[in-house]
Amino acid sequence: MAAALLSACKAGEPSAWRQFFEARAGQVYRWAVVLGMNPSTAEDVAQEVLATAARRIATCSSEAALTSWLYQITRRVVANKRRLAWWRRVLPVAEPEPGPAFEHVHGAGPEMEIAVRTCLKKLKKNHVEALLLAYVEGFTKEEVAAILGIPPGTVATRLRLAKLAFLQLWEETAGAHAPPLGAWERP
Amino acid sequence: MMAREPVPNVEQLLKRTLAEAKPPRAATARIVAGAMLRTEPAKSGWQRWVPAMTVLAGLGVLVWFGNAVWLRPTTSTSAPAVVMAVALTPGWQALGLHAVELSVAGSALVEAQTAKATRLQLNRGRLTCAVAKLGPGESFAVQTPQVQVRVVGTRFVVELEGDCTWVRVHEGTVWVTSVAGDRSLTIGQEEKFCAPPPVPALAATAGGEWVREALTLIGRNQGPDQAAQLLSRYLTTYPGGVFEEEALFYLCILKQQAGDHIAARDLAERFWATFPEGRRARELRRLLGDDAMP
Repeated sequence: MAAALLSACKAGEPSAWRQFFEARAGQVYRWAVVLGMNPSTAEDVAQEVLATAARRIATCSSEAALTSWLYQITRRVVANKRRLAWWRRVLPVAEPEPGPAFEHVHGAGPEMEIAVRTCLKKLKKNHVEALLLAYVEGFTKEEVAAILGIPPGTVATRLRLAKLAFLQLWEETAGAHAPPLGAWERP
Repeated sequence: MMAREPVPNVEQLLKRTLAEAKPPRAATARIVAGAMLRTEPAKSGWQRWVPAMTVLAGLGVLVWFGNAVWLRPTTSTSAPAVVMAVALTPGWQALGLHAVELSVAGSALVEAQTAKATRLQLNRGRLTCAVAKLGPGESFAVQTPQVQVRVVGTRFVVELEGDCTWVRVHEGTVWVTSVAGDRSLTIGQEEKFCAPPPVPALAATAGGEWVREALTLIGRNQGPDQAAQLLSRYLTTYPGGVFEEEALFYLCILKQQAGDHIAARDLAERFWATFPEGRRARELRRLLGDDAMP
């Protein structure tokens, strides 16, 4: 995003905000889904995150920090959603069958997406965050450490443990039903 | 079921599956529209306080209504107000949570009214009572020369016809105490009680308002003539009434102060004949001098 757009947003121009939302909606939605929200809740989360961003844009220092700033808002909103959904843990509500959350024009198909999400859902939350930021969003360990407020060494440890846990889950559950993965190999 | 494949590289798997993943277009449109809606300009000034003020006003109304209607019968902790011998006026009127209707030509007194007890005395005419549901220890009673009617949450009519009292029950049950004993009347029943007035004491509190008004005037040192008239009227209308002692005593004093020593002496002798002992008798002797001693 150009710095000019951020400045226009800070100036309160509605057209700039629409552009900003269109540019960031997909990313925030993806984060919400990876962090364990179902598609409809992820939409709510994305709306709330963008609306919060609009209200508090003055606290975003620069265009370079925008992504990590948005992610911080997202994890707080997701945490709130989880807390408010306490009744799901108390009441015997049947979990809906997982469906695809993304558009699959190219890349991995819906079956693969569901298999990956199923595994991620069973991982620890801090492991999922490490995988999301490092492998999906492509941040360096140092950037992930800065976003999560932990030392880079801890990020490396979490990534290693997260990969092992993911592989174990993949083999135990999703792997049996997953589609062929071609030439990918064990790390 | 698909065949097992080599275990993937997690990094590549996640990148390929999620890095470029986008929500469906419809979802993106909904997110953008919702976010735009939620980013309306912040309300300024008093508008920001409207929801809070509305909630506060609603709470205030609830508290007021609850205090006025729901809680009043059970939360009355203040000292009970006692009303003695207040005359009822014809027509409907409220007595606390109850309502009574006195016929046009009727005469009735509120003998006592506290937070828990209401006692009426019917001297003439008809009294229709609509009594609210009474709690533990609460009572509502109507006294006539013939009977006493006690109720617990009901509607009934007490009517005085000459030497007889009619009691008609429209709702609930009443207990009637007469010289013949106690009996209950339930919904739709009516009964005529014609026993003569047992003792003057039942009706004697009638006229009490005259005595009270006269004593008020004396206490304020106002209208001694009017006070004397009221006391004279009481003694004439209700000979042997419960306020005879007070009426005689104060009328005697008023006459003595007015210089009508003969009338004062007559009244004093009448007083001593009826109430020979007591503080008032001694005060009258002292006031009228030795020549007035019996």
